[in-house]
Amino acid sequence: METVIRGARNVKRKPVRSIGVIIIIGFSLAIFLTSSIVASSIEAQAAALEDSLGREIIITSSDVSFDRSASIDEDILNLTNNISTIESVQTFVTDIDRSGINEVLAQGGPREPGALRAALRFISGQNLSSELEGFVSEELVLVNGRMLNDSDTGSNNVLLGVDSALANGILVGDSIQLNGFSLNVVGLVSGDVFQTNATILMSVETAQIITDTSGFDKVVVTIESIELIDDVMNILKSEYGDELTIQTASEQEGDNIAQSIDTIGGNADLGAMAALFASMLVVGFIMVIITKERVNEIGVLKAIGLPNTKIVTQFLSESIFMASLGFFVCIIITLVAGPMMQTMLIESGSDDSSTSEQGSSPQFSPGQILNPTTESSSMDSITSLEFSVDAKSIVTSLGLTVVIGVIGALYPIMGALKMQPAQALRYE
Amino acid sequence: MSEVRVMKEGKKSKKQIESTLEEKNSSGYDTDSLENILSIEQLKKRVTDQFGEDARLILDSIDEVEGIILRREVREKGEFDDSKAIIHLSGLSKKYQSTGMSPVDALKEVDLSIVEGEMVAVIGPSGSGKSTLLQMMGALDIPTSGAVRINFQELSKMNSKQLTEFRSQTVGFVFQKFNLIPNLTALENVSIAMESTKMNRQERRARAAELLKEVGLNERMSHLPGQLSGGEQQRVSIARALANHPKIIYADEPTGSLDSRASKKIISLFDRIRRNFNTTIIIVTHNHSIAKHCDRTVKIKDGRIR
Repeated sequence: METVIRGARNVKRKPVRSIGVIIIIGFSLAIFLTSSIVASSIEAQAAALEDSLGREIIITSSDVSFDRSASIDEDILNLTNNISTIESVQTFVTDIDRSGINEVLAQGGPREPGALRAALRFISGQNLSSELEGFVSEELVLVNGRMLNDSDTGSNNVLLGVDSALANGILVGDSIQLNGFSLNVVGLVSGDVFQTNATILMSVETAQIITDTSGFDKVVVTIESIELIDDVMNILKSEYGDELTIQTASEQEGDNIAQSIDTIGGNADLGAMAALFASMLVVGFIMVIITKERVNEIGVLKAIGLPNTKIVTQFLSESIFMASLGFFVCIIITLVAGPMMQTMLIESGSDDSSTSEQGSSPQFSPGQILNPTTESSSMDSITSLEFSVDAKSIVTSLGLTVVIGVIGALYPIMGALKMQPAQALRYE
Repeated sequence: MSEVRVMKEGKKSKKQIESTLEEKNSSGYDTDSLENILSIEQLKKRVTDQFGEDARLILDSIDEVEGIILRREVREKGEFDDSKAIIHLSGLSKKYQSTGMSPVDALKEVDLSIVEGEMVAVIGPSGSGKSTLLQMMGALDIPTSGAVRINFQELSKMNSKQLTEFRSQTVGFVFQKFNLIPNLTALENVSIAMESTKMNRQERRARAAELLKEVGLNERMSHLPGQLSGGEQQRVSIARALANHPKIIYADEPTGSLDSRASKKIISLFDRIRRNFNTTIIIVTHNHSIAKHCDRTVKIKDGRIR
């Protein structure tokens, strides 16, 4: 109690400077606290994401290059249909044959051939199903026209990404030519999902006809229960293990989003470490200055015969008191500005990841656009993380506060204690 | 020797003095000093009866007269016995060495003895080494050479713990700038000096309150130094110096920051302390009028005692 009273008197003696110091301490700690909260939230979310993806198995070609045709034989459906524990099967066809895409001609032709190439990059087919809600998903926004449904299976009705439509002056109701097929644009779509705006979306059967393939690029199998996934994996691997890549969605998702999560988590960790370092440096420096100003007092206490232990205890407790006030400010700043800082950190990570994927060798997997369990949807779940200050982070910050208070004050105190009392009394 | 004994008797309590006087009457032991004290005691009683509440102030003045008589006798009749010196310095030198500067001799081969209960003024111009001398005697600094023996103990042979205990128990310091801890009240500033003792918090506070009352600050105990006048701060500083019943009080320019009225009060306070507790008091000062209140004046110039 005496320490609190003495500390309060210290603040009262030099109110402007003391409040400034407390705010600086609070702000420094707040950066650390926020960064560590974001880092731990992302880790927790990533773990939750893995759990949610646990029931899915993704089958793709072992050949990871983009210049391939559908390489999963339709026979796979015979196998999956016979496994009773499989809840549903989604099939995808993606064509990234640029020469084929470049043949796409809007009525009146593209305004700029380069723009077409840039704007229209993929053909994506997915099996339409009422049960699976066809193309309708949270990530896909209908801008104009209508969505595809079961009745569009095998038809020449397609959806066009809005960027491609704008670049080529295409409207709903227009026809486009692709690989000699005339396709009707029944809707324009947009979305945050990777490359949605540069894709022609259609049923998997239509895509097979246009690309002249009979198989799929990707098959997603959903199991009834996570406990049964190993059994199904074993069956699939025993049949296709040599020719296809069979992995759980969490594994593939883990691969896909690892970079993004690493980036975001890395940013958060880096932010936390930098903030920790900066906090310790700033607060330590402030404590050094404050305590150095009081070397004279240490000299007095030595001159009146106070043992070093008592002097250290008194000064440290006052220093910790000051740092503790900073801690309370830190909590307030964290609660107010934390969510904003979290968004900034995550956006920086997302930007980094999308930049890397828009390069010349995109790691785009077939069907990624329409699969709700895609990297982008995972990223969305991360960007929508709720910011909450947990007890662990508070205890960590409080511990840090004490450490900073102690280290910052201890250095000049020990220096002053080494002086002869007369020297400390003369100290300016 | 007899002068020393007379002086010590002069600082005994009234009861002791009366007892001595009875002894004198029965044994025929006779000194002029004791007669002086007798008359002063009678005078005190008469003044107290007549002036009641204000008696204390007048008694203080009488105490001063008493002190002057005793000190005059000491000065006129002889020297102290060095073997009984509570402070003994021999060949004490202190050299300050600053980076890039030539060394400065603050003290040069200083020899000095001060007996218990003596009040000594150390006087000299600025930079003459007065404060350095005080710091050496108070174990606040280490001499370059020479020996400091305080209360029959060689300071150079003490370890850090012993020196801390020495500063706490044997000596008390009063500084020109008071050097009170700014975030502690007057009471806390005094009681903090007792934190190294075995007294509990209550006892420390009670003792601090008693001392503050003694120096006339019983109504200012909960004030912070910034809320006290210079004279009041110095009285807190004196109360702090007295906290652990020190044998010696070192006062470095104790009135240097005070006006003449406050200065007079402080000197009067030192006089009373010396008389009541038989405390040896060493006062560093520029002020010759303060020196006149002391038993002895030590003049120092260029680090040497003249």
